[in-house]
Amino acid sequence: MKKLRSMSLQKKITSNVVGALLIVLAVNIVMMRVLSSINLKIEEVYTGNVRLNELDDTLGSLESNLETYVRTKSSDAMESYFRDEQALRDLLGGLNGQAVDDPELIAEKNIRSLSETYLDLTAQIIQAKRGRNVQKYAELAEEASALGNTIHVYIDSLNNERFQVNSAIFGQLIGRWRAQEGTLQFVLLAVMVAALLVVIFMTSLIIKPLKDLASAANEVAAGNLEQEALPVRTRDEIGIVTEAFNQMLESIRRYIRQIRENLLREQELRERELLMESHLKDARLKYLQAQIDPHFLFNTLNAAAQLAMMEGAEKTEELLDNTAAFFRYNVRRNDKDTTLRDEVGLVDNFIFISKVRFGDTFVFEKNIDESVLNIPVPSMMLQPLIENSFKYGIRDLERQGRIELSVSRRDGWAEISVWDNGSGMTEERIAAVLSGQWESASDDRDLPVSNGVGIWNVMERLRLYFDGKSTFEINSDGPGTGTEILIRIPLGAEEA
Amino acid sequence: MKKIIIAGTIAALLMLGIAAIVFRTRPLEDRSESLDVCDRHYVLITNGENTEFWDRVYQSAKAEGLAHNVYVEMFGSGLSMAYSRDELLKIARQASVDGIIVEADEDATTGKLIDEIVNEGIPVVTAMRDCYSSLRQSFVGVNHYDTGVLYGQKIASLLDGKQEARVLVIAEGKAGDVHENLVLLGIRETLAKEMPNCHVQVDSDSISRTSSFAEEEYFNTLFMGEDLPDILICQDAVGTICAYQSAVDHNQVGSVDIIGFYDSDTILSEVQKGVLTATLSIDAEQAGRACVDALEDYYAYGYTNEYNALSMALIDEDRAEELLTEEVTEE
Repeated sequence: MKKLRSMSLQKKITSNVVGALLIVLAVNIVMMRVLSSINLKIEEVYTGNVRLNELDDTLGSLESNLETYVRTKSSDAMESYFRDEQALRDLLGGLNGQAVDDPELIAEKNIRSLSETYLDLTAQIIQAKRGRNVQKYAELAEEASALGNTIHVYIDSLNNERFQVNSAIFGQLIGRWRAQEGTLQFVLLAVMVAALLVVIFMTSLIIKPLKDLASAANEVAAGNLEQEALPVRTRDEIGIVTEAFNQMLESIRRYIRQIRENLLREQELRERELLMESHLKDARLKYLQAQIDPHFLFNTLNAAAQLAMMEGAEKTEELLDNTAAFFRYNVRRNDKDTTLRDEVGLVDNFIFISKVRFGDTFVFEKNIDESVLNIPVPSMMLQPLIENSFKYGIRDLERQGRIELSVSRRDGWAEISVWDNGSGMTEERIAAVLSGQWESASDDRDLPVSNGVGIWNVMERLRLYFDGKSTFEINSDGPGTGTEILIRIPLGAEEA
Repeated sequence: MKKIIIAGTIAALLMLGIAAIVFRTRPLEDRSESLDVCDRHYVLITNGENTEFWDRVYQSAKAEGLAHNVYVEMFGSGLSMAYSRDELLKIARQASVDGIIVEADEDATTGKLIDEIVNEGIPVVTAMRDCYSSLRQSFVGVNHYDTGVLYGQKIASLLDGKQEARVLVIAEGKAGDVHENLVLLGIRETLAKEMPNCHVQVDSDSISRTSSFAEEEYFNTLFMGEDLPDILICQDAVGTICAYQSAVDHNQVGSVDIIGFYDSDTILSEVQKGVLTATLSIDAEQAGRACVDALEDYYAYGYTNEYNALSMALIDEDRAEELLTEEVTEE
């Protein structure tokens, strides 16, 4: 069995086919032998008749030679007689000489006994002829003739009987031949089918591991790597390929595990980097916000002091309330996110304070879509832009300055626009501001309050806060045409 | 691997089964090897008459012979030429058989042949008809005088009250043969004793068997004639059949009482129907056994009983019906 397992595929298939062919060949040989044996039996059937005919002919010849001898005393006839006598005795030796319960064999016995008696008689005739005893050999010749005729009758009768029996046997044999022919054809067909089935069965046994392997390979191709190793039953080519497939599958699984581990490790690193980046962003934001506080505080306090000195009345109180609110907002929101609503409130505080300072030299209008006021924004985003419009836009205008704040919703974005009818900006200056290369030379101490936060600062904070998804535009047709700062903030799924 | 073993085993068994079917070729009979050799070879020679009766005798003798490891041959049967009894006796002597059973008669030639055969050391038993004058070892048959007595008793019962009658006895052998004379003597003495006041004419005749249809012609002529006997006695089976057939053909059933011979189904049936008045039955099986036993005794002891009597009976209508009913029941 071990030898069979380690046999090569070619040898297995070859031995399988050769085995089937040998079986068919063996059955063919057996069939030929059977048919051949029936042929022999058919040939044997009439052998008995042939022998009896031979016996009859020999007896006839002997009678003829005896008669010739008695009549002529010819030496040739004598010689022929003795030759026939020997031949007759030989043939008689082949006949039954015993009493058995069979009519044909009893007839043989009778023929044999009668023939022996006949030969005794003929011997006496020859003896009498030699002794010239005419009367005796004449009597004996007559008796011999009668006996010879009787023997012929017995031979003919037995021959006829045997012919009838043999005809029946011949009929049986022919019938058997035909039956056997049909049987053998059926057997040959059955053996062929059986051999074919055995070949198919054996081949399927040989091919099964290959099918399993193909099925497993298909599974692997479909992405299913989590399957058990295929059993290796043989040491033939299929066994070797199966073993290699198992090893390959195990290797693929190992590589995939390694790749997955590496990816996880990389992801962890990336998350750590992002976290660090986020922390840095927070730090930078806090740093920028920390830069704003001192200016803001001092300017506000100066304004409040000026107002108190000039009026010292109710409006002072209102001013102080607004200033207080302004400070409170900054103290509270300095390190936290806020909403657009709070930013707009802060702008209102700033405008009130500015109105105190500049009187009706400017007009402030706001157009607010309440539905977007709840979106979270970094603190101190809007007020610096208004402050910027004062500082660079309308302060030196001969005519009345105008600042418009609009907050609206458009196509999933919140649009915040701060427009003034001030001095406007050149394209170069816009580009310099947007790139952070331009900063005001110094803080404008003339403004009622200032948080000291420049446009670039706001722009940077917005970029960091919204991961660069917000847009920041400065639109101006040139000097004297006014300036619009347009911020677009993406609305989250909730706000949209 | 187990599957391979199972597959191999199934395939091997399949092949063996197929081979067994293929090799299932019955050998032709080989007679000489399958038969037992007998110690002796006896032959039965008849006159060629009463073949049905003698066939029963032969079957019985053959069975008895095989029981003693002896083969009994119906000599001359199956030959392409018909030989006479005497020719067959001569051939049997030349064939050096071990014993001869022969239906003989008082013919001188036959007696001489029997003597020659016996002198050559071959025992001879005469059956049914004896050759008393020969050297035969034994005779197996009925007592012919007793047969005549049996016929006489039956005739007396049939002629009860009649003053005169005519009885015709058809001899089996030649008329005037010792056996026939003994039969006639038995009939006449019985009638004289049983019916002293009745004049019964008992005639005897024989059929010249020059051809195979001689008997039929004889009885046809008899029944066509005016001088019909009151009682007709036939002593062989063929003659019995020819006689009753002629009686039927000539509408003479009832006008002649026919006493036949042998108890074949055909004859019994005619007795049952009343066509035949009665029939003489001799035990053929007993005859066959007795012949073989006589020869065996001779071989065993050097001598045997010179006469072995067989039992006989006349079967009338009632008995014929019983026998036929028994046969039907046995079947």
